[in-house]
Amino acid sequence: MPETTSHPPEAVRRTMAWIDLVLAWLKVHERAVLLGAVVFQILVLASMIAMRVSTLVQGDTILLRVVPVDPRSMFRGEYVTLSYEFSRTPFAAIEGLSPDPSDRNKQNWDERTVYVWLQPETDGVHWHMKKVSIHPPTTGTYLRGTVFGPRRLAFGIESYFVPEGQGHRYEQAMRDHHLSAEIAVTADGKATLHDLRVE
Amino acid sequence: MGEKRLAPAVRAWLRAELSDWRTEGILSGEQVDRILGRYETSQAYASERQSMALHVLMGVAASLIGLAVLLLVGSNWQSMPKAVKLMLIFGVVIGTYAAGFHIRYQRQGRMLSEVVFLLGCLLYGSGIWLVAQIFHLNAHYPDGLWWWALGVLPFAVCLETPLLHALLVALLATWAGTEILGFRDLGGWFFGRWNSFPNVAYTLPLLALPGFAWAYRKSSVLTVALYVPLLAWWVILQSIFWSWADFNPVYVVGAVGGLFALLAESHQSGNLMAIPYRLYGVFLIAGTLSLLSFHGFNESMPNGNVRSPGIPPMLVLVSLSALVVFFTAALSRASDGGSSTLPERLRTRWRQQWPPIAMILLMAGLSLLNGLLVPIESPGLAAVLTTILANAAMVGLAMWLIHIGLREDRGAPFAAGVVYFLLWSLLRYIDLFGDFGGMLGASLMFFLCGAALFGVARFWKKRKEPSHA
Repeated sequence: MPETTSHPPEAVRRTMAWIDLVLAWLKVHERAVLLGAVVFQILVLASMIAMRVSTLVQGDTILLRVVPVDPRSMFRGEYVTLSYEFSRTPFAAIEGLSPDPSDRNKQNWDERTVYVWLQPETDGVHWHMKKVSIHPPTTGTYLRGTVFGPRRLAFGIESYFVPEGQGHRYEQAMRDHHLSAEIAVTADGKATLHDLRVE
Repeated sequence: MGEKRLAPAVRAWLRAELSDWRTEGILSGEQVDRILGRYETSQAYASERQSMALHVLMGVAASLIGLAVLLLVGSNWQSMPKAVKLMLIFGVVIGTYAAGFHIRYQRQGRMLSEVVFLLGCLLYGSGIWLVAQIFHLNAHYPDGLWWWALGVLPFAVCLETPLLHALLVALLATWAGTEILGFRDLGGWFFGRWNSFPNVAYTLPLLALPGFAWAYRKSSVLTVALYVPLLAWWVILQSIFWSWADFNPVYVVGAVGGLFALLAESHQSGNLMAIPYRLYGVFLIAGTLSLLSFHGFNESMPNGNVRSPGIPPMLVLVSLSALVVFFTAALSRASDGGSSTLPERLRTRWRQQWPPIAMILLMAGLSLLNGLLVPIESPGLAAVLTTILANAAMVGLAMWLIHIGLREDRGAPFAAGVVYFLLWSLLRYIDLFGDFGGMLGASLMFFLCGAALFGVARFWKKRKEPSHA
């Protein structure tokens, strides 16, 4: 085996020394660092829950009718894709938004925040869209969402985890227009999907 | 000092030898006892084996019980209230880590604790997806992988096991792939989405750097071998994403291979840390050249698409290579006592690093060649030139690997070079003469390959003989 040189350059030696310092510090404080990492992981899980629970607890619960989507993409394994009457609103129908959906105008519509003004239906149980606007209403219930493309508005309530064997039941209810989504909505329009209801 | 382990059969042999040496007067009785006293007795060995067997049995029992609990929970999961599900998730994660701490710090079981911590990290990741399912989260799902990786990072750098580095690398690679390939139109993230910046997983090098530094400082070639393909994956994704015209990525893959081979040559000669870079670099180059050596492949590539020369990614890769050469030369001052000038060191580095540099320039040249000739409707000429150059490069790569093996006195690169040369011969035979030679031709081909391998093995054996004399 040829003799190898073991004289790394000065800059490399300094970098290695610095790394040694950090590793030595980690060794001495190993227990604290690992404990800190565990606490961090718990906080990540807790914050995921807190973001949702705060909406569920503080928000008002409303019922929105779920409309059918392309059946080929409706049921993706464990998740059902949900769509609502306002999910595919064209740009021309969004108050205050330029109707041009082309890429030239993309900076005006891509990831733009929009608001769906809601009003209760005559049955007093369900809610439906009054209008979609780039401005929120001063009073009343509304949903806050994002534009992701022409006829593609998302509000964070488009996926539902389906218990095993239940997917087709929801699919059929959706096709028959008998499916509603129980949504918790906060005062600032943030929505969380709580449950699906087959009527 | 603790007694060293010794298998009973070896202990019996040692006792017999010591007895002979004592009889011959080589060792005294006291010396024999002191030597035997350094090693555990047969009874201690048997006791430890029994203890280990019990541990294994208990581990299997615990795994079966754990599996039973998982199945029980899984079968009732849907009917559980959300609160119970959450308590289970937190309980299992916290309980696993508590067990890990107890084993590591109370029972001094370092290896077992590392396995338990790995399990804890896996359960944390499962917890992220389970919480998302429970609350029907419709968020940007690659974020879950990023937070998972961030949670695993401290464990990887604090503990001694490559398993956690493997988990971290797998998570970062999956995250980068899903982010860049699945959400390229989303805009880069920096405390919010910025449409002006592309979505190219900027934080991957930051998250990989601690593990990389750990691997170098611990001289863990295995761990470096985990991070090198991650880096290669990220660089290839960058070039694919940053192109603003349609170009063929096969040349980029080859050029990235050349860059990694160059990084290998930037290490001190004989440094084992160079091996992962050379291994993956050679894989990428060898695979790319093998494809490009077929005229049929080169003819079919431009069909249906106008391919641009791919100047931006190639320019970046060539510039990176130049920087590597420059910095290697600038930093190598210590190895010669600082007596040589920078131009002299550059010439020295060039002598060692020119093969991978040539590979990078070849890929850049081929990309340019195809990008310029195809649009002017000369794809035939481009295909012929590419095929000839790729074949020459394959032979060159084989020779270079053989040279490395001879230079570092290592059989693996030497054998790899020989095998790659034979592969080239086989591919050319199949490509050019496969339809004509028939069974006789194939027989001759295999005979020649076998004879070549035999000759090479004899050469290597003869070369090693003087060092064993």
